[in-house]
Amino acid sequence: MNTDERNVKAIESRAYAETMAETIRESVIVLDEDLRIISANRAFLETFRVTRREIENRLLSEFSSGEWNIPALLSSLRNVVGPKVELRNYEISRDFPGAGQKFLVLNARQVASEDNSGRWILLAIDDRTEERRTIEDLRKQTELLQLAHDAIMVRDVDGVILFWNRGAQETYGWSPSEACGNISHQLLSTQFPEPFESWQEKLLSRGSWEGELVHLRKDGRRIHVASRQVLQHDQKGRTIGVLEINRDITSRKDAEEALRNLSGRLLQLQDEERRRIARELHDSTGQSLAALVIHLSAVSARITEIDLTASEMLREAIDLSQKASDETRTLSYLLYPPTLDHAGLRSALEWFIDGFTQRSKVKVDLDVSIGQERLAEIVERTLFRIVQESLTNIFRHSGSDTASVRITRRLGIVRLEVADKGKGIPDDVLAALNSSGGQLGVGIRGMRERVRQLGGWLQVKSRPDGTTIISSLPVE
Amino acid sequence: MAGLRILIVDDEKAVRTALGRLLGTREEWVVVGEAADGTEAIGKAKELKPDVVIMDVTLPELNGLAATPEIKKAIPSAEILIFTQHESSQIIREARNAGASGYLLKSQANWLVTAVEAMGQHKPFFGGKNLSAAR
Repeated sequence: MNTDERNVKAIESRAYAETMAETIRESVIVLDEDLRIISANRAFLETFRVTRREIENRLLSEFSSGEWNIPALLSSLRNVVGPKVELRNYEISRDFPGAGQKFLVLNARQVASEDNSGRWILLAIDDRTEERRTIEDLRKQTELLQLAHDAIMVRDVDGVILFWNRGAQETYGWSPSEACGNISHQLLSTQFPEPFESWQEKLLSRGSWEGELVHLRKDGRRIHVASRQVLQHDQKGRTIGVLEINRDITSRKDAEEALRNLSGRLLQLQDEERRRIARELHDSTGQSLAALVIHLSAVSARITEIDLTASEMLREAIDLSQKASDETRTLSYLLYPPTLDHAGLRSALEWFIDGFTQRSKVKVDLDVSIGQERLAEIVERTLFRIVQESLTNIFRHSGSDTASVRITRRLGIVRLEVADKGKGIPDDVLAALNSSGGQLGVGIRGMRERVRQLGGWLQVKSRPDGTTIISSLPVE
Repeated sequence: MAGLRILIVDDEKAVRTALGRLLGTREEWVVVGEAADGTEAIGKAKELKPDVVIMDVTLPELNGLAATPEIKKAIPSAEILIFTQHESSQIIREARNAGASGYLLKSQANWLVTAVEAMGQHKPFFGGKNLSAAR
């Protein structure tokens, strides 16, 4: 290859290099050994809002308002042409007139000068200002998450914890480094309100879930949390993880539990007190009044030869004492079922249902299959009260003209089912009944408290064609 | 009318005494004995062989409805009148099933003489609150 050919080749190479430099989006400038600007590409001119004339043949340190006059940078660049050390990822942050605050990453290497007589420096300037701003925003957001007292975590689609805020550390006792990388429901021994698979199915299909969970802390303490979970998607709409925010509601739950226990205990005490008064009325006052009627009747039978006025007065006395006796009996029956103590649950229910059907015209089918053995007094009383309350509700609200009461005993559990063929309980009413707040001690809530007091549980199943209330009580 | 031998069963002394006085208004009737619980009632009945037993329901040991069939078994001719504070159609049913011939509420004691007369004639007498108030 002769000199001409070589020159042509060199010119072609230079044109090619210039085209490349103009095309790429990174700012590129070429400096000579004195750090004088030889040339710059379009990206540089646009980024720093300068013209080619303003910069060419200017010293880097002097150009513009001296933003590039950074001694450490200049000395590093000199090293690129001296000991031939590359400059790698040198970060600077400067305010450029007209272009604003910029965060730049610089890379430089030595290249041969155009005429091969010297050495030049190719300086590539990567403007990372936008990226830096995004990271900064994220960092600020994360700081906000750290301020929250709620436990905030992010887990990926496999349940692996990726983010764990300070609130989560306070709530659960695990630090971010201990928690991240674990499967969240394993770490927290989560108790879901339904089987895990169906719970997860709900979250995935609806995109979010809200409810209560039970978790285990690092110190082994069990806590209740109110949880909100939302699926996170990438720009293409694929699920990439779940954001979970949990609030510790243990103390509220404990208070509710204590209130429920107290309420249940009060109902029991009220029953005991009523039973005592009913017995007293029936057996003591009632007997005295009965004896009074008998005595007066004896007087009436024995003394027939008195004047008509006296006879009339005696008749009135008998009437009054009879009335008092009947009222006493009615009152005692209202307070406590008369046959429950001495004749047992079945007799008491038969007695109650007899009267109930007479008053309400609701036909009740009673089936008690618990054998001859009596249940504990408190269990019989609780079951009786639940039947009483349920049948009263059926009469008042269901519109059903039939009902069934079924009591069975199996594997240490007595199960009571009271069913009707009425219109069912409206959804909003049912939801209110199943929620934890609201009025205590009345209706279905009262029944539930009585049952809980004995370690049992109560379910309400309601459909537009009828309602069934199932109480299950453990017995020895 | 032939004399009647009557056994009174009630755990309340005041009621037994009052009953004795009321029944004593009929000269041909004799109260042959009293019992305060179901077991005692069965023993007294076997011993005294009464024509009529006036039987309370709520009793210690054995209640009146449980003692009734035992007495009927031992002395089939004895008629048993359930005389109680308890008022329900169920208890009337149970009284019939136990073999009693009569049922009377204690507050309707002014009907007692009529009820015992029915027993003496081996006629049933089941009266609830619907009996007229005074007689």
